[in-house]
Order: sequence, then structure tokens, then C-alpha cells
Amino acid sequence: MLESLDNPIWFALTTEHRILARSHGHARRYPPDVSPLAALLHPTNDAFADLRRLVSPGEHIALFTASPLDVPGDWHVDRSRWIDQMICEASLEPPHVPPVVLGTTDVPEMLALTAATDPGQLGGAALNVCGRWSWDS
Amino acid sequence: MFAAGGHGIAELQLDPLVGADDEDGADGGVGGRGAFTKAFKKIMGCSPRQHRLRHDSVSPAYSEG
Repeated sequence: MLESLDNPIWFALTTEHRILARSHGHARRYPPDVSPLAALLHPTNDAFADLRRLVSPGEHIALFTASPLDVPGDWHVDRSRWIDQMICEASLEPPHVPPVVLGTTDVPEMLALTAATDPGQLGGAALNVCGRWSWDS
Repeated sequence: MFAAGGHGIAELQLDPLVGADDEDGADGGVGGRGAFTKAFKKIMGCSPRQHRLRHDSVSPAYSEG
């Protein structure tokens, strides 16, 4: 479990989100219209070369790693910082109302909500990542 | 929250994914965890993992010509 937490994007893109993964060698990423998140199996120069095949010129992508990266010279580091990774070991009580199934007709409202709350960069295709369920409030 | 003359819209769009209040210090240490983390812990009952992750925003370099 800890290994998956050390490389969470890789773990997601090789398990539940693997159907979304754009892959080349030891690199994975979400489609650009879903998310800028990407991952390497191990942060080697070969893996960065694999990732380069998945990234367009001028595109910025985000990597999460357990230790500072030694980025090859043909990459720019635009920003680098430590972040917290939250874990929850307690079982959360589910909501007391049934979920509503979401579809593509709900995408405009979903995007309006993300614009209002700014949870991060999401494209219309993010419906495939963010889930198909909602609870009316 | 961000230094003036930041690095562009792409990074600003990424920041909410990782908690914009968790601006790190020069040493990247675990001290001074931000308001985002504290609020998340209070609301969701979650805790920050002992080992932090490194978030890098990167882009491929291309030589001109």
C-alpha cells in the first residue's frame, strides 16, 4: 500500500484509471483534456524519454514523487515543492441519500461547479475520472 | 499565497489539486503545514502522511531551429 502512495498517479493509471492512461514505456499520463497529471514507473532518464513521447511542445504536466527529481536536461522544471498527502484510516459513514447517476448532459453543470469552486484543472472529459455519481444538496 | 511573477496559468490550475496553502519552505520540510491541510484534516478526519510527496510541474524543452 505504501508503494502505491509513493507513486499515486502511476498506481491510478495502472489500476482503476488504466482505461484512461496514455502510455509509452515506463511513462503514463491522463489525456490532456482530462488532467495534466502524469507519472513514471521510476524517474530515470529513459522514463523521461518515454514521457516526452506523450507530451506536446509547450505543455506543462505534473508529477508526484516520493523524493526530489533529477530531471534530464531536455526538460524544464517550472515549479517544485513538497506537498502533504492525506490519508484516512477511519471508515467514513456513507451519505443517507441515494446517489444520482450523472451523464454527459450534466457536464456543463459539473464544469460550472468546478469553475465556482476551483478544485483544479478539469476538462469535459474529466467526467470519466471524477465519477458518475452525485448527491443532490 | 504565490510569489509575484508566478509561472503561468498552467501551474495556477494545478495548485488547487495539491492544496494551494501548502506552500513549502526552502528546505521542503514538514514544518509549517498549511491551512489547506489543517482544514482538510478537521473536516474529513484525515491526517497528513508522514512522508510528503514532491510535486513537480515540468515541461519538455525544445531547441529552436
